[in-house]
Amino acid sequence: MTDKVEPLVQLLWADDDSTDALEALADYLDDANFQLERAVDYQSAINKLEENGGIQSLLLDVILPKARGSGSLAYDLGITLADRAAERGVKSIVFLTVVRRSEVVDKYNELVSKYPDVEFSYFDKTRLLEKHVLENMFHCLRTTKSGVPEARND
Amino acid sequence: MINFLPWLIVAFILIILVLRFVQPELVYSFRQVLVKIGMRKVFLDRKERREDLSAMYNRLLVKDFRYETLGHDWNYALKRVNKMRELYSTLDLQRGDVAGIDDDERKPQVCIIELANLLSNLGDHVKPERDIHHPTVKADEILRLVGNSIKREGEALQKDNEVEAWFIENPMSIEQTIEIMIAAVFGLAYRQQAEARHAQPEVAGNLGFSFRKPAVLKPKDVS
Repeated sequence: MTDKVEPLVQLLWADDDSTDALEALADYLDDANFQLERAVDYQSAINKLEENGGIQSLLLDVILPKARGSGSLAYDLGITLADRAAERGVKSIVFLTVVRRSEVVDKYNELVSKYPDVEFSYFDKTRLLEKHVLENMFHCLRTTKSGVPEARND
Repeated sequence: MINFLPWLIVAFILIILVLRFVQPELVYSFRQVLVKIGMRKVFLDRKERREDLSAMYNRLLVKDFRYETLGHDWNYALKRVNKMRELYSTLDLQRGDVAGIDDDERKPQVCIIELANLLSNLGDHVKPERDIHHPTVKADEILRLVGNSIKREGEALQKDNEVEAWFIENPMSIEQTIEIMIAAVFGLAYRQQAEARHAQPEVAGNLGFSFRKPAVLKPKDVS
């Protein structure tokens, strides 16, 4: 897909669709040189962040089940996950969701101002296959405030 | 020579119909697999830089969010609630155009119908329990709370006729209706979890959980 070889980035993708309807996106991410880990709920995403200190980027949905086989009373558990990930040193956080940004704008802006060193981006899932959107999303997943992907040393 | 093809087609349709009503989960699992295969094809085509595939992708996305509500166990219900929220967000008229979904197909009210089905399935399996008799927050109180939370400015709604007048003047959104129904789904799902725990046989050393009325401590016990 890309002509030049991009540096390998360790990516956690937290979305219940990541092993379901959107599983095909995983191949795309593989091809774009992301070392991918997937979590289908909030709890397993937190576990993966704790187990793997090297995760550099997080791709996530705003709507996430709390644990395997459950829903979540909070409709925006993804925002909480982003907060936890930023706290743990993830430098690039990209939302991919059908939730309109205006619905979570206060909490999103709060995250952005709370973590000035973290690069946050927001993508609409219904526009994912429009021209250049996937490529822009991959670019954001690779972008940090310092400009290059950084290895974490937790 | 007898042509078996029409008979095979009829038999296939019959099998599908029987499955639809006897084992509907199988049919819908099959449908989920088809959505997954469709998505894979869309992404492969995208990789080959074919034409804009957003329309097909979005149709598959909505198909994935929306399949008939079948289950009644609590973890199915809670998972389904998330899909309903995603379906609503996709079909919400506040959102701009969605490629592949025409305006006449954008019916976010289907979420109300699906949640009603989910509540119906959960309701079928509720066991009446004599010991569950907490005070109830009545519908008028719930509406008053919703109205006052939305209203924020001016005097708070107090009397029932004020609540009625306010909701007629400011119709409840589909999303608000959905959230009230989701609250009911969560309530019933938690109740089902409590029933399931209660039904587990007690074993020695098990710190048993009971959803029955909690023991009331008498003053002498507190000390």
